Amino acid sequence: MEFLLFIVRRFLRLILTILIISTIIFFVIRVIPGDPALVVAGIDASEDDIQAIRARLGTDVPVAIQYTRWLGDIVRFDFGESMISGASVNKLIMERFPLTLTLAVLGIVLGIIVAIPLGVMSAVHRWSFWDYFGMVYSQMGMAIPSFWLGMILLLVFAVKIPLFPLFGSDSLKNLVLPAIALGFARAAVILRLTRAAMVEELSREYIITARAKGLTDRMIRYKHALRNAMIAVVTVTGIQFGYMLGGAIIVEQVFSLPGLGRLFLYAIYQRDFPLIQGGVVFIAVIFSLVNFAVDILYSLLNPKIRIS
Amino acid sequence: MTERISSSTLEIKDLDVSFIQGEKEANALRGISLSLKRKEVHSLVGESGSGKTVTSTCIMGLLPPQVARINRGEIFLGEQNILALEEKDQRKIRGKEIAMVFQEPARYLNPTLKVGEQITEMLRLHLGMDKGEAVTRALEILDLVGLDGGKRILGSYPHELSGGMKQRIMIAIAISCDPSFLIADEPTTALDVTLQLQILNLILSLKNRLDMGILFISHDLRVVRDISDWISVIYAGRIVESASKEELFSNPRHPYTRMLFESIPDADKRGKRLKAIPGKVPDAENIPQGCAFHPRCPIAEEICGSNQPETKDVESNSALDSHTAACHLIGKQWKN
Amino acid sequence: MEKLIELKNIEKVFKSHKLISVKKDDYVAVKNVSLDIEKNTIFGLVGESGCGKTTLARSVMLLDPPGSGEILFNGTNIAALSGKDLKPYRARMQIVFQDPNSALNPKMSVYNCMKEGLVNIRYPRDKIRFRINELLDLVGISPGHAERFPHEFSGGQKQRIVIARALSMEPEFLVLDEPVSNLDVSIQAQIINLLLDLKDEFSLTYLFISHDLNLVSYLSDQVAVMYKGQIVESAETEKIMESPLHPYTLRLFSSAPGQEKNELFEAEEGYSDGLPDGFTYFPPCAESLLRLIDTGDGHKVGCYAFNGS
Repeated sequence: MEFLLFIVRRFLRLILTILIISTIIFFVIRVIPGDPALVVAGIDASEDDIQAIRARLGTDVPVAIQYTRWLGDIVRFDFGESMISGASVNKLIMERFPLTLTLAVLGIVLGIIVAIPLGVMSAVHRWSFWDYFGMVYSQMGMAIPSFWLGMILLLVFAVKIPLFPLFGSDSLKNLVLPAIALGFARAAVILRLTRAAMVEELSREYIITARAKGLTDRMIRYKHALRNAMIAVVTVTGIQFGYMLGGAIIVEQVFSLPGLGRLFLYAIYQRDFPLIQGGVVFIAVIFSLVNFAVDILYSLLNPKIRIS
Repeated sequence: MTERISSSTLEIKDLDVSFIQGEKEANALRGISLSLKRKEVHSLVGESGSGKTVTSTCIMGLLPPQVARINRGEIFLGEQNILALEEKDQRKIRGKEIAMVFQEPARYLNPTLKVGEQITEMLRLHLGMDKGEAVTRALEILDLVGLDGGKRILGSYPHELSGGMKQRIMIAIAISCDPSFLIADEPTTALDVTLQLQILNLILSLKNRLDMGILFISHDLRVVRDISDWISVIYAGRIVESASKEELFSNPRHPYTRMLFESIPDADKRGKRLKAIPGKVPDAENIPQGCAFHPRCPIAEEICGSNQPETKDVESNSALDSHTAACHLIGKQWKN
Repeated sequence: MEKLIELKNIEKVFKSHKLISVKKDDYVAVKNVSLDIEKNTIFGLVGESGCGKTTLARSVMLLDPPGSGEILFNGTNIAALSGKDLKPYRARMQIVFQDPNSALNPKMSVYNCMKEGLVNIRYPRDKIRFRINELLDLVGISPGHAERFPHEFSGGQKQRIVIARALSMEPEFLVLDEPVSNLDVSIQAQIINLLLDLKDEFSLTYLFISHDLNLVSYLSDQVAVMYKGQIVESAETEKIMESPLHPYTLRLFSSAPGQEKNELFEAEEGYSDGLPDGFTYFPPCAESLLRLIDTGDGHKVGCYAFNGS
């Protein structure tokens, strides 16, 4: 009951967040000086053309009506049609989303596989080889830009040693190198946090109790400390995952992957307003959903949160 | 199942421990000796920094090896010097032969593990029980520590329980493997007065039922009054006085012990000024030469500042009990 | 005797901040508390953690103004004052907390720490150093140590500094919230003696809050026992010590360490946590608002058992 109530409360907060974000998006686009229709039509367009574009954009009616329509669109999750291709914005997004999702999942899984064990090792054996290795890694992870790493990966593992294909996006094999390029930096962040959280937990009083019980070091570290350290790690990992779902523009560009990032990038180039609006709302929704999931996971890990 | 060592005494002999941090050395314990029998409550009373917690941590083998150095001394569990054991063998003693209860149950219980798991993991590790056996035993233990609610309590998290219940869980964990000795480090200090008495009662009744020896650590002479058989007073890493409870309360001999009693406020002293102990507790990095208490002692003489007093037998009111104190001036008239 | 502080029906509720909530989570920390503190006396307030004694202290100091009720300081209701009108009263009442570490800014020398307050009350600048030295000397801190930082002092010394700072405002009324609980046993008596000396020297009035009954009964003129946000009993110290009436008071007294109670050891078993006997006998007591009945000579008790008898 407690838990159900907690979920309902968080879910309502999610809805509220999405509503606020979409309102902000709506007004930002309207407040920016200049008529989007003018921008879309270009300088040579006639007054009629502009009027037609306004009609398509829906900017020919008062703002209040536009806003109600916009909210209606959000509720129905319908963002109209792309001004360039004429296809429905939803369809365009949904075509690209599976690829981005797969890439993000692969990236975060790779990141977790590297970061958590290394972070735990670093914390448990402080100032050991593993700790220094972890430190060097996290420095590199934060310093090396993903486009550079992506190109090096392509050069080494697709060109010199052709283990992976250079182009394409139809098989999982195509996604391995991009996932590494994407996950490398994320892993650095997760690693640092895991180390810090483990060091903190290992200094807590309940660890003394665990030692006084005669438990083995393994039990103390993995059963007692790691469990508590994970509370912080899950939150940060979730947020990292949310970012990746928004589309990894640079990595998709380097590997020529038709993901969400590239879709939105071209939408901006081409001033495809419905697609931009739809894209931003979509990312906001995805991000909120990930946060929602993290909150629930967090509360499962941390029994205290459910009560307070 | 595993055979028991089943020791009847726990004896600390001349334990001397330092903490090293860079250039600084803090001599936390300066030759402590005390002994504990089963079925006996021996209280170690001292102020913060006196070395009472270092003593218990050392018995449990939990001193941080990076900074702590055992200069000399032995801790015998029965015939065995546990300080000489390997970590692996020490671990078999911890929790099983000697268990410990801490001051603040809220911090010393794992917040994300269910209470049941925190009790049963020990039973499975030390006694080789399977999950079902361990749960059955855990329920018996809950009963023993006066918690009814059985399975419901095993399934709850520490923060769902009240302070008194948490301390009972701490005690349940400690006694789960039927240890010979229990170290209780200020187990009631963080609790409200009305709960303190309950927990003290519980510890006493468990002592009788399980034939445990208890080392009770406290900063408060009043708290140990009702439960102790024997009391040792520790000051700046040395035991300054040790006697049976009756003897210590009726015939305190060391100036520090006497002054502690005199400085305790209670209704009988209303309207009178308290006899405060001047100065402050020395820290372990700067222990005064000679008798560590001499700068605060009203009867100190020259010798107190130069020579460290030996622990000597003093005249006891009861012919049966020994009474020791470490003071040069035991025979001197006490100015009141 | 003249009353310095009168509390009338003080109430403090902490509101729940949940957006959606099934049950009402408002927490009533202090319920209908009234008490009088006479000039140049010590009023002891005893209770266990969570009983509302610290909340009450903060309310009296107007740090967390009470939700309702009056606080009369020399007859003026200061709970109704604000801003400029309140300022002079703020200086006339000071509080000393349990933990001197959180009361002193670790990055400020003792001198600067104390100067702040004096500047605030427009103390003549050229006399500030002299005044600080005088105050430190008064509480037993060598004025030569004024430039030192808090971490260079022991716990007892820090508490002395906090007391000196409170005195620098020349208060008439001091709230002492567990001022010695964090200190070593051998240091506590020093601070208590100091507080008693200062009280006589400056004709101070204390509200002394503690969980330690031995201590409160040693130094208070009046004692009030607080339980779950309400005063359940209050009287002159001798009276309440001799003949405690309320079941909770009885229980508190018999639990205090050092009391002769060997025979109580068996009897005490079987209490459920927290809720004392008297309340479980008669459930309404735990829920409803207590009405204090005067049993004579100002010995008041809030217990249904005494209604009508």
